[in-house]
Amino acid sequence: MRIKTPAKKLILSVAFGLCCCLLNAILVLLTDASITTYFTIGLIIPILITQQWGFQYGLISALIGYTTWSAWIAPSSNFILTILYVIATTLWVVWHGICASLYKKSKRFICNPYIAEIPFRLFYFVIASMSMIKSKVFSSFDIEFHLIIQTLNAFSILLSAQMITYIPFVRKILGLASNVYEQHTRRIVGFAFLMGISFWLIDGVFDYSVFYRGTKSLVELLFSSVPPHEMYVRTSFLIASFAGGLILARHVKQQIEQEKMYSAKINIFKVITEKTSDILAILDENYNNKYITPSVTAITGYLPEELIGEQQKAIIHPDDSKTLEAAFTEAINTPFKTIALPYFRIRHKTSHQDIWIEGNVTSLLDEPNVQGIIFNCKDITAKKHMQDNLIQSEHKYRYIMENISEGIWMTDRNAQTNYINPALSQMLGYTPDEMLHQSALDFINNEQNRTIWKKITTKNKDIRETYAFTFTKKDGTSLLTRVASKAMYDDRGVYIGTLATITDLSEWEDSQQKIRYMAKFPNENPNPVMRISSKGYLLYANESADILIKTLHLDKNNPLDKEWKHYISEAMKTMSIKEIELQCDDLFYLLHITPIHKESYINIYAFDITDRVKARHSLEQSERKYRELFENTRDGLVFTDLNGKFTRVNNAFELITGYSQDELLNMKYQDLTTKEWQLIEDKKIREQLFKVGFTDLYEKQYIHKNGSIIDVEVQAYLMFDTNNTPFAIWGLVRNITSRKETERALSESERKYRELFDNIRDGTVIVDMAGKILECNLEYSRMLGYTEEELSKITYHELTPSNWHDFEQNIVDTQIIPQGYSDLYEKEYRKKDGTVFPVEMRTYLVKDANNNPVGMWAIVRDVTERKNAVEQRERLLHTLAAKNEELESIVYVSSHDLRSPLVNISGFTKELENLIDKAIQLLNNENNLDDATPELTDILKNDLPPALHFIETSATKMDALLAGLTKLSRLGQASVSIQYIDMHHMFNSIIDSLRYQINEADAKVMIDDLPNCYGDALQISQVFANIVDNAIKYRDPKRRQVIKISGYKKDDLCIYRIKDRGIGIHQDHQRKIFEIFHRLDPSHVNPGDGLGLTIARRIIDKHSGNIWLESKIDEGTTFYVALPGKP
Amino acid sequence: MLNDVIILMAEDDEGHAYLVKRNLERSGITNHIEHFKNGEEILSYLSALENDPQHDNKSYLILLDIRMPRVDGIEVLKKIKENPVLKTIPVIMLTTTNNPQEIKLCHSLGCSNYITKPIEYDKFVETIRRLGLFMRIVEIPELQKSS
Repeated sequence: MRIKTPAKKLILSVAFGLCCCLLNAILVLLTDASITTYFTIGLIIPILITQQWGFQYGLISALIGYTTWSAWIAPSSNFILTILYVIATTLWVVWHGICASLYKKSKRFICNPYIAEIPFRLFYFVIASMSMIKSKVFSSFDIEFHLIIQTLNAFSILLSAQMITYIPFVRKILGLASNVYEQHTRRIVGFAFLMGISFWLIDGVFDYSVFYRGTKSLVELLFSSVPPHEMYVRTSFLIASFAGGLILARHVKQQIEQEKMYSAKINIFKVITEKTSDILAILDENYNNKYITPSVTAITGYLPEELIGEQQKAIIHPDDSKTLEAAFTEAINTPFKTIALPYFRIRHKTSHQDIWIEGNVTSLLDEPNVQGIIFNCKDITAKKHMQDNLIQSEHKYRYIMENISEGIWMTDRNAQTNYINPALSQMLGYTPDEMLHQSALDFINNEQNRTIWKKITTKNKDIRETYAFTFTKKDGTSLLTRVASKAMYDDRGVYIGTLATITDLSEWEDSQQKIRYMAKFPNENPNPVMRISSKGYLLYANESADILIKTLHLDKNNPLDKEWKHYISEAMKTMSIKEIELQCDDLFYLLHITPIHKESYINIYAFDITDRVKARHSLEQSERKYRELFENTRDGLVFTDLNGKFTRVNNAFELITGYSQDELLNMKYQDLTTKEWQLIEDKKIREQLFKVGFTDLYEKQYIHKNGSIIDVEVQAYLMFDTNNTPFAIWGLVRNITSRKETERALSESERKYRELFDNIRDGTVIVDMAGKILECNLEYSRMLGYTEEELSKITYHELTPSNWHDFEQNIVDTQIIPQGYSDLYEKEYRKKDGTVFPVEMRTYLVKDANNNPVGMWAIVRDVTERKNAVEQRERLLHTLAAKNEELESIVYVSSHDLRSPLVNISGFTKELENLIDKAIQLLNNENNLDDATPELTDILKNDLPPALHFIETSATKMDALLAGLTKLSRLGQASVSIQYIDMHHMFNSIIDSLRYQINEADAKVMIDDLPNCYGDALQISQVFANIVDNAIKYRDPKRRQVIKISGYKKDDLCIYRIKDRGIGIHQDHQRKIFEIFHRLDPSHVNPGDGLGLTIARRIIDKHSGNIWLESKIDEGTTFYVALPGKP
Repeated sequence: MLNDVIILMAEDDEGHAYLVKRNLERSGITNHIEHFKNGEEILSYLSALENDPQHDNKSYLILLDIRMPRVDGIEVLKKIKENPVLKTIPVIMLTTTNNPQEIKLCHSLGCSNYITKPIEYDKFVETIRRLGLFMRIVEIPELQKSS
């Protein structure tokens, strides 16, 4: 959008006004146009400007536009009318200017120019009619007609103005934003305008040729002098077609916008569908693919193009197509409902492997946008395989659990029941649903029993315990049971629950109760009691006996029938209780026919045994089943006498042992048992079988006929005869060799891991996802100094110093969760006593069966020692490197500094020899000694002394060097006696000893507060004395030397700072100054032996300290000495 | 060797300087020998030379001892060879050390010759004589002003 400046707007407004003026002038010259025509033409552009830029510009344009009219027309017309028009037009322009600016801001419908026009017109109507009537220019009819024309005119001006804005050229001139939809709008509005104009022209031509034939010219009828009612008709049509066009344009614009929005939405959905890993297909009513997502290629190997138009069935496994078809039919019959498909298979295109698919189907055939069946499916092959395996093993275990007569009660780690078998639910009378997810404790009333139960579900993993235990059944009665429990642990040794095996001991309990009942008074007895005479007549019966009386048809006159009499007489004869079962309707009673000593009648005690009989019936049924099973079961079943001699065995047992039945019948079970198990088994038989009548399930080993050892699992039961005397043993034997082997391997590895868990030097910890510590081993608690119990209440975050939290969380997020484990990483833990120590650890993710992370476990190693060792080693290496350097520097010295004087000594000795030779020659050759004298004198005076001087200095130099080396070597041997050093005192004595030099150099020494350290006082003093001495020696002659001594503590170190304002040491030399025999400036007035700092460094190194310096040429040097602050 | 070649000798040991000078003279080297007591002195001389290389139309040859106070010979050699004007000056290392690493270092830095001062004087004399011969045949370029 090009914004026009006010100046430009002004110029344009004037220009437009002039244009209108010109147009009007032409009209006036050429035709006899009406006032309205001028106004119409003169006001379109000004009103447009008003609406877009504001009325100030529009008014300028409009007023200029009037000029023509005023100049040409007004003089000939009524002056008052002219003024009235000018005022009215001005007001009109201002009004629209205000409304347009309001409309731009608020977009309120009421400010729309067409609506805004209405109040103005009403106002105008009142004012104009009043003033015109007063002025008496027009008749009242004229006024009304005029006002109607005016109104129409105003609307047509507004419409024309809006229409013009659709012309791009006009928009450009006005500086408006280009309209996105202008093409459509332009066409529609243009067409509407054309329609209006054509009607105008046709009507004009029609008027010219028919109605006004000969009265007016064509031009007059068309433009300049249109008859009022024609004008009315034509303008109305023009307005109508404009309005229609505008409404249409608006509608089209909305349509386009909506289309755009939809196409954007469609794109989003399209991308989502194309990228999904699931297969999404749309089928027509014949199940032909109309659309299928590209993901189909990844899963089935088919390209989408290959499948489009094909039957979806084509790739489905033939076995599954029927079931699928049923689901599809169902989907078609219930439109819009999503039908889950049964798992089915698809053949992979190339590998021909079956891919398991889970999916659903929805019929959207009636949905106009889709018109197809949506088929959505997902590859679940891996899931399916896993599920199948799970189901298999689950079936196996469930089968075992559901079919044993013992009750099985499994609880999870929170003692919530998560499984009970039918036997148990039958025993207790609760349905499994009532018991599931309840705490086992809810089914135990007695507080004492609760304590026992808690003991039963103990987490102690190694103990398998047996308890006598009384449950309360649903009907309120109690049930005596034997409970054997074992805590269960998962592969990682985490307690996951308890498994309890419950054996019903109620029969035993029953007989006890019977005795109790018989001892009761008959009328108190809830069970039927009858007394019958020896003749069979009823003598007495209690209330409960009614039913028996009815069944036996007993009354005072009617005795018992013959059969019963026989029972009675038999009982009386033997004087023993006879038991007879009697069925009364659907109840069963056990009648105890009890003879009474020396009396002629018997008592009959009846017991309701309906339940027992029913149970027996079902038992009998199952007994038949078991007989079949006996021979066919995979488990060995054996019967032996009390000595262990086999009396009967089944096929399975033959297979297990390798012996035939005939061979076995001559053997004892002891013959088959390995020696080491015989004793154990004997003990079991003695302590369990003969005491309680059964053994718990135990394991032993058999010797197979071929000599190999077989692992078996045995449970033995004692068999009692009717006299309750044991007469035989029967046992269930299961070959568990293969299981045992696996178990052995497993337990071997389990034992290994358990041992590792407890005995390794690494800590092991198991935490949940919130970081709470669930379990840990001894080492872990030892290393942290907490007890296991304390640890179980905190999270590992609380053990970790906070600066490691982000680091560790990052490892959890980026390694453990995505890949299931972490790399080895190092972090720190804080002990209970607050000490922070480094650990090295690796963490693994623990997932539940649904693959959701439930916790983590980690192996943690305390690496304090290793870290220390590493540090120590590094320190040692460092010292070694320094020593090496020192040694090298000594070697270097011996190859140069010691050599240097030797060159001189040998050189000048030779020179001396030469001189002496020369002198001897002179003495020999010259006869005249006098001639030789000057030359000899020259030799003796000028040549000999320097040579001798050089030899002498060289010797001195060598001596000094050797002395230095000795000094250094002595330092190496000297022992260091560490003591507490008062540094203030030490520096004061150093300053005292250097007092002379300090005074001579006019130096100033300042000592701050100093921390005290530990070291060999003598040696440390030597170090600082050397540094201070150097500071005095290498002072800057241009200024007074100021030596500042200060110190501070940092960690365990005391750092001393000796700052001077001396000459400074060049960057290049700062390292060299510690080298042996290095002197900054040998020509210096106070040369040292070049050993001072070498010795200083050696001393500091021996104290595990450090010495370094900072220096700038011409500014000064600061020496730093770090010494231990602890002994 | 042209007579207008000046020999610049950096040697901290007066005795050595004396002996070298003496023996060079004996082997026929009559050129002027300028003696510097350490690396710093020779460097300040050279930096003056660098600013105006042709002021006396002389050529130069440098004899360098290695172990010297303040600035050692290797440092001096490095500075000379890094300098666009001075790098053409032949530098002969004349030192007491015969550390092979040091010899290698000097050669890699661009010295023209490396001579170890032997302790036996006869050898010393012989070495210096050979140095004299070497100096005679060595071509000494004139210093060019760097463009």
